[in-house]
Parts: sequence; structure tokens; C-alpha cells
Amino acid sequence: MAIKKKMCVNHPDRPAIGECVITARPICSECTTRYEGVNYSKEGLEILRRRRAAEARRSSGGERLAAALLALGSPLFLFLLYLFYLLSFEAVIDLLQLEWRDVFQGL
Amino acid sequence: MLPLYLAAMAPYSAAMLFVIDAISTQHRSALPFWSALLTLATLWRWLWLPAVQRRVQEDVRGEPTLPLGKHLAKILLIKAGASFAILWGGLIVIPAFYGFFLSAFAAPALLESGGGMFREVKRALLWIHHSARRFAGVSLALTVAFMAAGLGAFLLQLVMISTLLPSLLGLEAADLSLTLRSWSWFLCLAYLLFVLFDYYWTVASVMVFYDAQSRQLGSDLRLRLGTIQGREA
Ligand SMILES: [Zn+2]
Repeated sequence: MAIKKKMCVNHPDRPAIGECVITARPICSECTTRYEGVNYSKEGLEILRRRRAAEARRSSGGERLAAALLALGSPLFLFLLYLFYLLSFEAVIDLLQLEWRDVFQGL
Repeated sequence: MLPLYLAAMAPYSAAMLFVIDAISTQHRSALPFWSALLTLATLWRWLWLPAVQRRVQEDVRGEPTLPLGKHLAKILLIKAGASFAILWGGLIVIPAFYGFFLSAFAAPALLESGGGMFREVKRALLWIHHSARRFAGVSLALTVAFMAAGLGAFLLQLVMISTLLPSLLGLEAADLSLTLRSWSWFLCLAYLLFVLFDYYWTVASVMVFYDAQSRQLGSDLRLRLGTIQGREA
């Protein structure tokens, strides 16, 4: 495969040193920003910034939703847990009140 | 991580000892109070257990995880949902099976990737589904070990009461029959066993989480290698 020399999209007289990972357009060294180990053009960086901001908004929205659900649901949940404990312990007392000595002598 | 775990379990253990005392002395009227206290202690335990798992996770990763405070609400919500599945779905084994592992993976999964709650739950459930056979082995081994230890404690109790104590101390066997008092020892022993297994699983589940994750990644890599080799051929 022949290597075709690409030129920068902003500076047609300068050779491109690479492509923007977001826009995939060839860019020269002056137009390149290296960020997190990869090359971005100015436009690519702006797209990345917007994407990250949207992601952060979504995730903090999720955290707020989780906190609200927890605040609303936890009293009910704790009450159910309390009932579960109480009924289980009552059942254990009933179980222990069986005449175990007779049960073992029967074995 | 042991001090953290002890901090998580101290109120729970204290409340449990009072419950055991109320059970073995048949103080039914005391049960509502101690059950309420145990419920609060359970909440305390749940707030601390993710911190124990996080300590293990940082050891495994060799670097800090995401901050716990930011993701704690999501972790607690997942654990609450999972324990709902365990308590109310226990009769039909499958929800309890998924709930058990989901509850254990909630903290490591969210502190690893910090993604949305539903995405992480979906991913964790998929891992559990893919590794169901191995996980069934793990839970079977845990159950058998726990039951064997419980049975052992129970038999030891029986032997102590029926043969050892009377012959060693010359006590009448009739006086030392299985009183309700002696049950408190058995219940304490059972609780001690529970704590040991709980600590073991709290630590081990983080390792199991990373094992499941790396297996998933490994199979993905194999899949990708396969397609690359297929293209070349
Ligand atoms: Zn340029």
C-alpha cells in the first residue's frame, strides 16, 4: 500500500502528523493537542468535553435518584427486616420449647 | 481489614448476644426491643461492610478505588434489593442465588467502574449468569462447610451434656439434661460460625469478583483473537 502524504485540514501547506481520534481528520503538529495519550483536534476536544459533561450529569442524576429511592424505601425496608427478625426469633423459641429430651431418648 | 470488620460487627454482635439471651431464657416480651436494636445494628453493618470490601479491593488493585461516599447510596440500594431477593425468594432457590452474589459484587463493581446503577446491576447479573456453574460450586461448598460446622457444634454440645460432663465432673446426667440454658451456648457457637463465614466471604467475594471479571475479559480476548485469525486465514 502506497503511503499518501496527508495535509492538515486547517493548514493545507503543512503535512499532518496524525488524525484526531474523534473527528478522524488529519492535523499538523500545531493543531494537535495530546490528551490522555492520544491526539485531538480543537473540534475533537470540544466534542470530548461535551460528552464527558453529559456523562457526569447522567451519573450524578443516577446518584441523586439512588439517594432519593434509598431515603424513601429504607423505612419500609428496615421495618420488613425487623418483622423478619422478630418472627424468626419467635419461631426459634417455639422450636426450643419442644421436648428435646424426649426426642433424643426416642432416637 | 480485620479492625474495620470488627467495627462493622460490634453493635450487631452485642445485639445478637442479647437476642440469644432472650431466646434461651424465653423472654418473649424482650424480643421486640432487641429485634429493633438488631435491625439498627444491621444498618450499621451494611454501612461498614462496603468499606471492608473496598480495603480488600485496593489491595487487589494495588491502587485506590473510586471514592466510596459518592457511590454508597447506589451500593446500599443494590444490596437492599439483593437481600429482598434472598429473604423473600429463598424458597425458590434462584433469586436467592443471584441475590447472594449480586449483594457481594455491588461494592467492588461500582467502585471499579463508577457506572450507572442499572448498568452495573445488569453487568453483574450477566457475570453471575455466565459463571453460574462455578458460582453454584462455590455456594454449595460454603453451604456444606457451614452446615458441617453447625452439625459439629451441635454434636459437641450433645456429647458434652450427655457423656463428658457427667463422667468428668461426676454430675448426674439427669440434672444436666438439655435445658434451655444450654441452648444459649449452641446459639452463641452458631453465631460465631456465622461471623467467621461472613468475614471470609466478605473478603473472598472481592477476589471472586475480579476472577469473574478477568475470565469475562479473557473470553472476550479469545473471541477477538479468533476473529482476527479467521480473517487472516
Ligand atoms: Zn494545522
